[in-house]
Amino acid sequence: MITVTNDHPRTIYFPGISDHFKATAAAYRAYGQDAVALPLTSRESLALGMQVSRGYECLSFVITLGDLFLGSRQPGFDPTRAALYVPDLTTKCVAVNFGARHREILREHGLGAVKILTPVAGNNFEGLGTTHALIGDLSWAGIVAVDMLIQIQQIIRPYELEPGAADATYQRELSRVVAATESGSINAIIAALEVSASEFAAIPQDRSQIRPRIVLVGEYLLYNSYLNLDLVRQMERLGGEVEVNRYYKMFYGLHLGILERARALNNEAAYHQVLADNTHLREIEHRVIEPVKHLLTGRQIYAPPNEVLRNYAKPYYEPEISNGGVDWAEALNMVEHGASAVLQLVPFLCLGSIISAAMGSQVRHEVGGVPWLDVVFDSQGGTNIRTRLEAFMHQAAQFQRSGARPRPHQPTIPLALGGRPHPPVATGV
Amino acid sequence: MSDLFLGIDVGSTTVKVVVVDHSATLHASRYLRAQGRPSATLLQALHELGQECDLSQIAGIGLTGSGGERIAQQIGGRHVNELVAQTRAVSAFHPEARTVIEIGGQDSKYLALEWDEAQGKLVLQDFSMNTVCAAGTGSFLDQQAERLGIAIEGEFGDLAAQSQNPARIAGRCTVFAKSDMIHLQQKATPLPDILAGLCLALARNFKGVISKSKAFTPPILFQGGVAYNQGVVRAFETVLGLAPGELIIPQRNELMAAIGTALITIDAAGEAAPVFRGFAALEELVHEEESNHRPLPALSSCSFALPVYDTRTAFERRPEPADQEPEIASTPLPVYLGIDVGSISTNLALIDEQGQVVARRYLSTAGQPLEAVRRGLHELSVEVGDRVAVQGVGTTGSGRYLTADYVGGDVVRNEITAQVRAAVAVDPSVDTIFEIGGQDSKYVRVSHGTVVDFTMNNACAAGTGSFLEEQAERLNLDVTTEFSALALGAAHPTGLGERCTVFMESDVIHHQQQGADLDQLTAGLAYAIAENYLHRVVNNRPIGKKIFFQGGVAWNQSVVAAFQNLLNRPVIVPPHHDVTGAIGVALLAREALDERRRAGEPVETRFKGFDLSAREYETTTFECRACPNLCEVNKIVIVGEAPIFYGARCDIFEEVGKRPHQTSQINQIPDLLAERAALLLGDYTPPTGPRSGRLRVGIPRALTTFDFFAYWRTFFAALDVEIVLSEPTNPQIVRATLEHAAVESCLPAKLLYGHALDLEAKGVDVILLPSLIDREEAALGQRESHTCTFIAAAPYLVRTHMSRTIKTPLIVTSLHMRDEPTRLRELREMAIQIGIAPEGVAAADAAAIAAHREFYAALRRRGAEVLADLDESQPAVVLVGRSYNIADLELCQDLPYKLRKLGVLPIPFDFLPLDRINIAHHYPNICAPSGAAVIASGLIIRDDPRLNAIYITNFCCNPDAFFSGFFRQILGEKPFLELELDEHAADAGLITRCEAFLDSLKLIKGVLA
Repeated sequence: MITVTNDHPRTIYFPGISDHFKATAAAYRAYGQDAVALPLTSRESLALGMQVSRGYECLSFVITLGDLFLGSRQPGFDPTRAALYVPDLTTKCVAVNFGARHREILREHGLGAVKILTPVAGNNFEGLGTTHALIGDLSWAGIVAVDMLIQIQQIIRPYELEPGAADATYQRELSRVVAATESGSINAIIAALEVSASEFAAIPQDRSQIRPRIVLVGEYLLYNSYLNLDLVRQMERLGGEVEVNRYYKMFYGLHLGILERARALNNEAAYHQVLADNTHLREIEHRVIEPVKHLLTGRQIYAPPNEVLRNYAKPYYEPEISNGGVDWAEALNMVEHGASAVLQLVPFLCLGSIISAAMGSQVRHEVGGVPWLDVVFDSQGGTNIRTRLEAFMHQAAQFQRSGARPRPHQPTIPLALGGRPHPPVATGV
Repeated sequence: MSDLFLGIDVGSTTVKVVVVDHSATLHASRYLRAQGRPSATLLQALHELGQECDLSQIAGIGLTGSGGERIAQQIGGRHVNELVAQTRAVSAFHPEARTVIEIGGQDSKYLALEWDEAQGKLVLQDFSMNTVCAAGTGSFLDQQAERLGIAIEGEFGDLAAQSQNPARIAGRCTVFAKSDMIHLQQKATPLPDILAGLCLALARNFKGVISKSKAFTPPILFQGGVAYNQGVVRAFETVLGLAPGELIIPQRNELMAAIGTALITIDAAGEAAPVFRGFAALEELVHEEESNHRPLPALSSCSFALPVYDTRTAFERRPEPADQEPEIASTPLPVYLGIDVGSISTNLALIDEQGQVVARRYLSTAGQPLEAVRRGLHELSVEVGDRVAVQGVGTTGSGRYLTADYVGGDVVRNEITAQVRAAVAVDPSVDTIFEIGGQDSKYVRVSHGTVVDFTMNNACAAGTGSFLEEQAERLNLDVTTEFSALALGAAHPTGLGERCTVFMESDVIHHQQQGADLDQLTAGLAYAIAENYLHRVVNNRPIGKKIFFQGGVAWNQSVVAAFQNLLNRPVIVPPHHDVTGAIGVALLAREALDERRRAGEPVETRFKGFDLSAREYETTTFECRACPNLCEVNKIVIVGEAPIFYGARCDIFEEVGKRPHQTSQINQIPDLLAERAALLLGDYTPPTGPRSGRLRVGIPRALTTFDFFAYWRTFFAALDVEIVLSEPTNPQIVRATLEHAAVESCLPAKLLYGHALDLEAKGVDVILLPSLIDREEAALGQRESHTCTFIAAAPYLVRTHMSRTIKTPLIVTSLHMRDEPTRLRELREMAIQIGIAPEGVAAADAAAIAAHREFYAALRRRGAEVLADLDESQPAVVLVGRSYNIADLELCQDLPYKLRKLGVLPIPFDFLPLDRINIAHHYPNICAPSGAAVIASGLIIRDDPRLNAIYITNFCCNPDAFFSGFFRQILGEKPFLELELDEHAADAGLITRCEAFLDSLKLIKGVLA
């Protein structure tokens, strides 16, 4: 499904949720479509979004709206030649209603001429024209590359000897990756990351004392320092190293939900189609990560296979219900791979994150009692969270010192299509 | 250098300082209220301690608390995290403890501790705190004590401990609990019961929201200033199931964080520490004016020429009859009495037949509405009692029914109608009314004297007067004098949060700690209330050109100025703006009685006279056990009168001579909710007598059961399995839910916890928690048909959280209802899990599907009959929303009954032919059957002039943020009422909304007592 019309050329505007959208916009430009990533969401744009919305919709709805309204105030903005990118990632999430409501609000505020571009993840974004597959692959490679830059920046920054070096390098390398994406070649992105790897590796570091690693999960808020209350730097200042859940893993989570549904309904065609898509994306992921994998110190190089998350989740939860609802399983998997604590950021009223927070804070007891902290973002800022972060960091250091590792509960669940086994009744939780 | 160390805890409301030596001996201490000036208070504490100890040679200083870090940086002290400090102190004095409850002024903390053999001390294993919300903190009780005019230290706890029958008060949020308390006051609930109810709400809130249902492993310590409150101690014992005295209250419990900080400072004495720069640096901090706030324009920056109304003759004058005799001084002046009983103020007004105000009173309700009314009547009697003759009495406000019974009222009208009546009397061209009272805020749009739209604050105190009063009190300012003067003088008002009272409170603390001045803060608060009101109450509704600002808050010129600045247009405060509700209802009483006179009816007021002020009454409270609602009923006995019963949701007590005509009116209106329940339940009766050996399956009466019970009863009957439904939602189930539900979801999803616990108590063999992944389409043209994410997830959450508490097996089954082969496989798996043969499942399912379809077909048939018979003489309202809201009478506060009592026919929206409506032309992307049903019903209601709508939703319902928006778009100019329901128990606000809505549609003609 695509709702943008071909009446005349339009500029596609991407919300300022994260730097990943810069790569996506570049991928569109590579194929001749004018595309702009709006500035990262700020206090001002969020306030605008709150003003024009009812205020209690999903935060990502408000953010997208606010970013566009702020963007519309820029000189040269022409609503008749603008389209807002609002992807329809899953029909299970309220986000499937964004487009219709966005349209109504834009109309009420004199921006009715702006089109809503709603590519659908469920059909692999078919409908973006004949080049959708190429744009999709290029955009995907760009997204993975941006994720890698973020990971490496966060691996190096706590140990850098020249304050600001990792941040400066990140900004330079982000421009390099975006430019490479705009050139239209995945190989160019890989080449750019090779340079980025050298640049980051050249930053002087002191890694004599390894800090407790904090996993940060929480959907779309993780990659924007305003939206995540600057939690990454806050945790670094308190003596931690942060591992932000990779953005691109969200798409694998979506695939897991679709695979589960296909499995339940014994829908072989859908199952194999999504599996093929998933495999294809993973191949690109592996190619892109190759030049930087030596820098991913102590972390998993690649996203875990679908089965790993499924096995974490299944004894407790049905992954088909919501992909955000299995963030807790992602986090515990990262703890199994060396992290010392989990920080769950919960966008206000985000159903998936609320489920994840509720599950994770219980299931963690099954897996070594790893420290777990929920932080709710509700556009009011982070008053009073400092005390909790300090105590949480204290716990993470305790957990790291104790050498405790989780004991993952991983029952063997056959992965064959159909014939789903009985979900076990949780005991002793 | 001495052996003395300072531990300093700079909290949000208090400053604690201890002087401790190496052996952990406490040499001296201070505990002072900060009054918004933490640095100055600390200096005072240090000055006082300097009289007892030599502080010049202190060996080390540690600081903790929300304001500790900034001061530590300024003076060169060691900053210690509060939770770590608490752990250290507990380790030193109560190493046996495993759980700590700490409740201070603005913060509450839960700590789980474990003994670490290697370190030889307690370590912090888990914790949680309140976030930006002050629910479950000491300030909540502080506020209520202030409101009730009782001392928080001593008196509050002593009174609470006397209660035999604690009142039921919602505990999810400070604001809701406060609303409940106010409504309980208006129902004349005894004070000790209210206080005990508040303590229980605090304890339940702590357990459910702050500790998030984490384990309370004994021994349990209770510390912080609130631990001195015996009422709260008793409440925790009740909530945690502890024997009296089992909760450990450490000596000097309020100082534990300060002591722990000192001990950590001692522990770290050999390590590198910040260099102490002396307390002089603190002096600098006191005077420093640094603040990183975003300044707003000065309140005085915007002014307009305003119309002037004569306060004596402002209210409409009617032409005097031509044949009127000259007034003889000895003839009593005919007057009408209006009484407006609100949360903060109780107002009385006497108007003459020309609408002039003869006398008026604005009194504090002070938690005792009938006392306030009695005092007001007495004062009016003294002033004009011998010169007037009361012809009629109108009552309004949230205590209007009680007051009407007490004084002998003739007309009872909701506040909105009353406020509008008064405003139009002053100036018929008024088009917008802002009314801000103590606990309620209202917005009304008026066109040619008629209400065309209105809304009220949604059980939220943001933008109400009580917030301003509390903040002023916290800042040690008189809200009526100093506050406004300071605010209007501020050059750079502080920008504060704009969403909720509690957030604003936190922001004020934060800005205070950043050094913002009082004038900046007061001006910021004036803006904050205005912004809150505009964003949260008005919420994008149109604001006209002639705005009246009524209610007590309009006295505050800074708030008037804030509105003018924000709106850039004049905001008019009419004469007698603080008693317009009383004046309005007096005018309404005059008109209603005139109409009856014109109709030739005998008209005699029921007014019992001013001398009522001399008569005594007694109030007792009991829990009515006639049905599972277990209403708290107040019995009020006035000497010489029949008792008045108040607070029951039904009219069971109204047989004592109250409003008998309404009972007959109700009986003439079909009870479609009861019919729906009967169709859903079919032949189900709970099993009784000794067990027969058949398997007994428990099914929660929650969520999808309200749609699928016909399916389940048929399915299990075919398999020869007994089923037991949990009880209809009742206060015990709500209470159990709030204590165990460790999830921030909507109330209906949380209630699954309480219903599972109820089934455990019923001794079933297994508890079935079906997780419906999808279901049939509700309307034509849906893209997909998934149930709400949270509704599907709730069974999994309950199983994960409750499998330790509930010993009965919790069977969670995912069900894809739309796909028969999948459904049958899932049902067979379920059958094996619960121990029944899977062979009969297919046949049972076929019968069950047929029963499920027949259930909906029966609803549609009955709906068609009702619509066929419906004419304009019978007002009708469609209840739109999920069936677990509409059909759960506890959740919807028995709204259908209340509507019928008002003479209105409530029609559940699934009685409409939703399945014949194609929504794809309007909204092609709808994947939720609940959303599709909302849209389809909107299309039907829009096109049928006989139908109006009440949209029922819940706090935290994310999908409804979209669906109600779509509904609004569809209905266009046709108004509808949106009710947000949750554990907020009081029902006065609900009736007001319904009455005002129905009034605006001219569907009802007011309620005559």
